[in-house]
Order: sequence, then C-alpha cells, then structure tokens
Amino acid sequence: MIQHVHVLGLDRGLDAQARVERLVLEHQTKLARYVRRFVGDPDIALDLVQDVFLAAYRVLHADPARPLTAGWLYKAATNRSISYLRRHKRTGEVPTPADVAESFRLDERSAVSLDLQAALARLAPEQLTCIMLTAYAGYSSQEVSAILGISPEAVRQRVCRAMRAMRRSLEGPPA
Amino acid sequence: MLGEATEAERAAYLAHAATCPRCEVDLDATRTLVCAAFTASQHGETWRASVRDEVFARIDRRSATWSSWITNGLAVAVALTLALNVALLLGAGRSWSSPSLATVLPATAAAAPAAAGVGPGLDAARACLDVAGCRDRLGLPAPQRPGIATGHAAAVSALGVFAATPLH
Repeated sequence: MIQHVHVLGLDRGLDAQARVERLVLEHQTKLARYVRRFVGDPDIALDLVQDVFLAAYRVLHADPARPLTAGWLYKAATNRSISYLRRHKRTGEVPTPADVAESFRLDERSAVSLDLQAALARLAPEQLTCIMLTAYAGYSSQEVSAILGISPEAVRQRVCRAMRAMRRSLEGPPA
Repeated sequence: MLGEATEAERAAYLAHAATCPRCEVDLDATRTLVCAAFTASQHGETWRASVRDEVFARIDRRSATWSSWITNGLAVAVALTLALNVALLLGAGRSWSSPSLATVLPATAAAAPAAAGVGPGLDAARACLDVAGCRDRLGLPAPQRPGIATGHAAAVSALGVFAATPLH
C-alpha cells in the first residue's frame, strides 16, 4: 500500500532537479502500476508518469519552497489518465480485453488481476478515480476528497457505486 | 439505484442498512470481494518501471529549449535595436542634410553628429545600407557626395562662421 498524504517537501535544501530525482526513485513504480490500471497499457503508463514528474519539476522549479505531497502526484497521474481515457473513448480507441491481457507480464496474468482490470475498465471515470485512490492507492475518503476537491460524502458514494458495479463484473453473469 | 434516490430516501436506506443484518452482510461482502481482488492483484504485480533517464532527458531538453529561446530573443532584440538606431541615425542625417536646416542651423548641423560621436558611425551605417541594397527598398535618397551634407557643415564649421551666423 502507498503511504498516506506524505509531505515530500522535507528536503527543501535540495534544488528542483534533486527533489524530482528523489520523487522519481521513490514513486515511479507505484505510480506507473497505478496508471497502468487506468489505461491498460504499460508504455502509455510510462509516458503519462513521465509527464507527471515533469509537471512536478515545473512546480518545484517555479517555487522551490513548495512542499509537494504524494497526493499531488496521484492527483496529477489520475487527471492525466482520465484525460487519456476520455480522449481515446471519443475516438473509439478502447483496448480489447486481449490487449489488456497483453499489457501484463506473463507472471502477472493471474485470473484475478485480469478480472479486476476488466471490471475497472467498465467503470465510469469518476467512479474509477475514487475506487483507485481508495482501494488501490490506499487513501481514506477524507484524503481523496482533499485530493479531488469534492466532498467526502461524494467520495464514499462513488466508491460504493464502483464497488457494486465491480462486484457484478467480478462475480460474472449468474449461472 | 442509490445514486438516483433523494436525500430523504438515502438517509432512510442508510438507517436501514445500519440495522439490517442482511444488507450489512451484502455491503460487507461487496467490500470484501473488491478489496480482496485489489489486494491479490497488487501482490501479484511484478512490473518495475524506470523513467528516471527519460524524465531527466526531457528536463534537459526543456532547459535547452528555454536557453535557446532566451538566446534567440536576445539576438532579435539586439538586431532590432541596431536597426532602429540605424533608422534613427539615417532620419537624423536626412534632417541635417536638408538645405533649409543646414542654412538655418548650420552650427547644430555640424556640431550634433560630432558631439554625439556618431559621424563615423553614421557613415558606416549608410555604407552598410548601400551594400545591403536597403536604401532603395526603404525609399531613401541616394547617398550624397561630400560637400552637400556633412561636407557643407564641416566647411561652415571650418570657416568659423557657425557661431556668428545670425538667425533671421
């Protein structure tokens, strides 16, 4: 599980580049796996994660004293992932389940992992965002509400709806 | 659907779910199932991403782009300043070479370029414009030979009459 809102501004003596390097080394894998669950493609996930770190560099370069939270990174990653999904759904470029399965390494292609990916792919973007931030990234409803700028009640409601939809997907059609 | 219910209906449902063992079990089962799927999937993830080199290459490219923009901007600013100065000098030169001004204010016409130290610079700028063929394109008059403009003023100055010329 990922650390809860963790302030990454404790190393204020460092310049922007050194701080970004720390962020990259600490968060790249977790963030890339998180984004891959959204977009279902490791290469695109890597591109989006690079964008996130570049945005972090811009922020730290403009204001070196700014404390950056892990929540900021997840918010940036989520926004980019959702934008990517919306853009590609508009153009009809939605990956098939076979493509999604291909996007996982052989040793990662367990049934539960692929089922989870298929269930996530069926969620509405706002539900996907909330369930990923809570169930995958490990944030509380309160923290997600702060990250997304919506009320904790709205977060709980979206998580609840997402869970119900996912249950239907995971359990499959009744025999 | 829960999301389509009114606030009152939602509150009633939540009150009911808190006390109804069947609904509670149902909610718990959903949560357990989904959380178990997430946990199992995360434990099975072995992919390790490495974006450090790409990120820093992009940061370096961005810095290089910025410095090239700054360099280009400075170069353009210097070129514009030079062009503006040349244009201003040419305009001043034309004013000084006008017969009426040279007649009325011979002292000023002779002294100003020399005082400002622009005499040789002005000649050089004119020569540059001639070489570049800009004079025709700008619609400026053909270069005047010595004795007409600066030559006239210099001659007046040399005779020492510039200070005593009455302004009628």
